[in-house]
Amino acid sequence: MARKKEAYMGTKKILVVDDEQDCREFVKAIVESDRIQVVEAQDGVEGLEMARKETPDLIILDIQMPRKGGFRTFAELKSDSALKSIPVIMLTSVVEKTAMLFSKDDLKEYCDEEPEAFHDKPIEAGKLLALVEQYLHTP
Amino acid sequence: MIAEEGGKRSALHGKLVLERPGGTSVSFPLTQFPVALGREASNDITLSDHSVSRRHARLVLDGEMVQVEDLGSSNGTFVNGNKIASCGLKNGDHLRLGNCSFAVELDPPNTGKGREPKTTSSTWDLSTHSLSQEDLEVEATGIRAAGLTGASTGAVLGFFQQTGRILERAFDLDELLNGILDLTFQMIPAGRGCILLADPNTGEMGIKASKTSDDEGQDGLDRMKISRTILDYATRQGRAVLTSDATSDDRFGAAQSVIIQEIRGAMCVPLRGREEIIGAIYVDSKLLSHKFSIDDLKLLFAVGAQIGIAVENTRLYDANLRAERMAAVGQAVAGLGHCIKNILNGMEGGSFILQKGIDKAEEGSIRKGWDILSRNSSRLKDLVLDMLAYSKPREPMYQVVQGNSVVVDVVELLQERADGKGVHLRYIPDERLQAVEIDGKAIYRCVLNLVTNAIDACQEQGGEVCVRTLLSQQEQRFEISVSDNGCGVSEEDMEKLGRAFFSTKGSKGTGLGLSVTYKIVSEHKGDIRVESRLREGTTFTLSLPVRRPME
Repeated sequence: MARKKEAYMGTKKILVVDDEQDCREFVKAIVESDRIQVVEAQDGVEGLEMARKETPDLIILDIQMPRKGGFRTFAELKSDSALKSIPVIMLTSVVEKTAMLFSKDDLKEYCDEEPEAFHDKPIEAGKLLALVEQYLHTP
Repeated sequence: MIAEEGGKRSALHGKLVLERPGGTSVSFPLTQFPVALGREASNDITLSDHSVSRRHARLVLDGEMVQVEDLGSSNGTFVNGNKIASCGLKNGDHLRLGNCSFAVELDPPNTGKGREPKTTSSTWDLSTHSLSQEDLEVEATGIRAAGLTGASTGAVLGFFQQTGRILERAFDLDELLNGILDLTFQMIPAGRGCILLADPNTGEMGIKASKTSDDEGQDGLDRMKISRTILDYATRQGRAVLTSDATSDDRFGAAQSVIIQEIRGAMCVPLRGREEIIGAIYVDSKLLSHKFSIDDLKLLFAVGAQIGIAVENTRLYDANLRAERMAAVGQAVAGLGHCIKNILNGMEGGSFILQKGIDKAEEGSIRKGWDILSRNSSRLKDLVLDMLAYSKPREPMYQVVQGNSVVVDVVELLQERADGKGVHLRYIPDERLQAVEIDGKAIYRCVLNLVTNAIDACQEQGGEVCVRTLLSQQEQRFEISVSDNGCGVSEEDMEKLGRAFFSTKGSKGTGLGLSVTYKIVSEHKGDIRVESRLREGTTFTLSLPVRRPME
């Protein structure tokens, strides 16, 4: 029991994939602590590279990004056997479906799987922290 | 045929008004006697009804008195309900042959002069006219010697050409209805007229356009109270109604609205939409000299048929326009919402970091939080400015400026940003370009947008942006081009360039910059060319007139 607790109290790594530096800073400020390390990527291409290199415990993924958006990135994560088990929290600033924006439904065009959480921006610090805790501690 | 029979006498005027079961009526003017009535086509008034004998009865003139004689019919001739062999007729009498009922309208002997119908010899059969369809129910009745009271055939054709023109270009309901009413008054000797439309929700008929002729004086427009009785009759039953003297027409009984207004003649035709009656055209006259003929009714009926659909189309057009506007507004609001939420997210993060810094007295966090907050507030400012620039059409505020200096300002401003991203920003001016007449601030904004986009499109390493100016050979136009060796624009995205709220920049882009640029350039009567190759780069070229274009 003691050993197990120690195992999950060990340092965790979160990958934040967002094209907006402010947003990455925000997430970092909320979750970074002496037991949670944050690594960053500014688009999907970089995000996949980092995921392979760093094997994070959780990925926080933006949807609208240049080069490779969140949906395609998610689909590629899920098709990579080494990465598919990493939980993903998706963040976006619009959830309703409009002509040019994205919703959870649009994800189905890319991938059959769903992320662990799908959250609207702006997100409150407490809410994000709770989500992060929840999925970091899920075995 | 009538004219050939020289023995006939032309005398006092009056008419027989055939009342059809559905409520429509057909008038037979009495201009020459004797008048033969019967089922056979050789009669002056042919009644295609099996209750009428082949040669049923005739009207003869006995001195000043019109006399009706039964010609040995099977089902009899009746005057005011009494079977007769021969009987003198008075104005207001009710004449019945078999099942065909007529109202007898005879003018007093000395007032009949001067109302000679303009056309007396036209013989026509309603079955060949589209007037009736199922509505007028007169298709089996041959009518003779009917006269147009208002217009000749040529004028009628002209009328329909004109209504056609109105219908073609009218997208505005008021314009449509008033135009039609004006034309109707040119053709029909009406005193007052109006077009009523049913409220799409309540079904209540309301007057949407009205007109009064000069003869009728002020009475008409001020008190356009129309005969509800006649209107109801037309719209509920869907029938065209003509009554030559509504005060004595027993279809309308002693209806108050008819009596109060002393209507001498009235016509009302329904306006048919695709599925239901959507309104009516009503005309009436208080003057005895304004009497309507079956031709007038026919004309009005045709007008009604034509504009019913047009009114419906206009309403559909309005509804579509509203829906399109709503969709556009919805999209704009969603796009704006997206941008603003992104900015709010930044502000939320900034204030969170700032608060954390204050709580822990960490200067680094305080500075970082503050930077994020102020950066996002200026993003919000830019968004609002772009939004306002995009939202309203405006004339450029022309001023004379040095063409190159507008571009230099942008290049200098963005140098830092380019350096920060490791992008090499070059500027190659055409020194021949001197003073130009443009809205300096607006064009500055365009160039700023293009150069910002170009820097954003570049990769982290080896990015190059080149800004050029060029004066055309004839020195009539000048160009500002911005090239990058960045990611390029896909074919699919090329179509969406300049569409409001379309952006490939992720959350950084508002999707308004290029939209505003396109708008400003087109307000300058200039144009924008885009050449792009995926992963090789993009060139945007603004081409603008050197001088303010003449209007």
